[in-house]
Amino acid sequence: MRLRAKIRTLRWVSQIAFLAVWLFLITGVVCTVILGPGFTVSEPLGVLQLILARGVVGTAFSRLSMTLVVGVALFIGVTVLLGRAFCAWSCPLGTIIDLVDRAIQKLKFKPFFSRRNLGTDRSLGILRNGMNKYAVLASALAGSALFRSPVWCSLCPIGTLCRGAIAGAELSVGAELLTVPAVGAMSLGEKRFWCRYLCPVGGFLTIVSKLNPFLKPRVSHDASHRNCGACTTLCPEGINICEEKSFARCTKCFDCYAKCPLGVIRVDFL
Amino acid sequence: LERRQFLQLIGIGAFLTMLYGTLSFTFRGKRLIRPPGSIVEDSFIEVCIRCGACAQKCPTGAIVLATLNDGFKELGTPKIDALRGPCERIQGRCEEGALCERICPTGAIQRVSREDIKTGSAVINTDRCIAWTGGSCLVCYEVCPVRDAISLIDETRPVFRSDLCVGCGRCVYACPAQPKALTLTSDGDKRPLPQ
Repeated sequence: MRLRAKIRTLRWVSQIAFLAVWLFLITGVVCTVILGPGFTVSEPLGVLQLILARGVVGTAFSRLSMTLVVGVALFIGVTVLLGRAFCAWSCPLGTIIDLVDRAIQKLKFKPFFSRRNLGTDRSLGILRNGMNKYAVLASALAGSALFRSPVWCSLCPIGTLCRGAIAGAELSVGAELLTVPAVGAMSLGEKRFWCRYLCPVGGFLTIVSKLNPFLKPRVSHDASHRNCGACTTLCPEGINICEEKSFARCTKCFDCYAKCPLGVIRVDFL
Repeated sequence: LERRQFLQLIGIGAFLTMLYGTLSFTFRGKRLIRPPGSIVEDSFIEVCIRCGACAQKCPTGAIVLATLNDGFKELGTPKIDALRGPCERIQGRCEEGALCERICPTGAIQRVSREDIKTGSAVINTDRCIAWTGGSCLVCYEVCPVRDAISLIDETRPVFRSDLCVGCGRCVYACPAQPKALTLTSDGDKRPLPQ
């Protein structure tokens, strides 16, 4: 019962700690963290783009393959164990978006898509389609192979944020820095709009998370729940806990567990 | 997967792919001065993972990350900005843990012997040079670590030999003229092939 009340605080602590580490202490790029000589943890989408840019054969016979494939395996291993926990607990951009969402909430601004007229507007469905992040993901991979450079990395707001931190006070980032406020502004539409519909990293992790068997929210069987839809609104990914089968999209934020008005959601470790 | 969703996936994906192509061909900067040991440019673009580790660890702060102004494909890759600091690797003065070639996790920057390093060359603009415009200044001549790369005419005015200059940027960093009389270019850089 106590954990239920504390879980959001715990997540804020984790998020802010990670943000502080990325932006002020390590000031590196979260996409490739170097832990020691030849030992890295690498975000898989970035490495996949490099492999496609270099060519699969070219990569296989280079130093790139040795260090990074291990790093990617680590990242994927963690994702199989913990699902998309990276998104909710440590992504520096996700933390910025959460802070924006919180400010929007405090200012009593009602996000556009939670308003009755827009939220049900079918013609806007194209914007609010979970498939869009796979389109961004596919184009990143196709673009890397065609134009022989990791094209998504050039625009990625996560990377831009981290590179801005490396540049420090002198802020040697160019026009690409605009992607960060643009992504923040998307939250005016819906909370975590970027993560939910567009982020290709989130899309990739969703695919990997299909293998994740742990930490899934469940509705207590004995509870006389009413499928009230409250969890769908609470969930930053819009999952209806009562009906969802796969939970690959779940970012393990546990907002549903903490805030379910009926208190019937629990989290199964297995 | 519904038909409509599939078409949306293809449509948006194709649009974004074309956007990347347009950006790659529109934003193309001049060639950058890369850290010593950087592999040939085309391969460098493909292999560099844009992690920024070399820029973080560079002891003189000479390595900065390229921005969109330097080109779309180049964005996030390391370049040497001699106005921030000179590259001391060329003189062998970087400590082992700070060597960019050791830090690079992908082999985009490779180990090279000191004699093989040439990241570019310094160019003088005599209109701005204090010594060439009647003043008295020998700063570049004094800081240059390479024998004969800078020589003096009449013991007052410096002339540069781009074939001997290794492109460390010490002279550019130290040049007291405002605006600087010296610029570092990537002209004549020697780059290893990827391994």
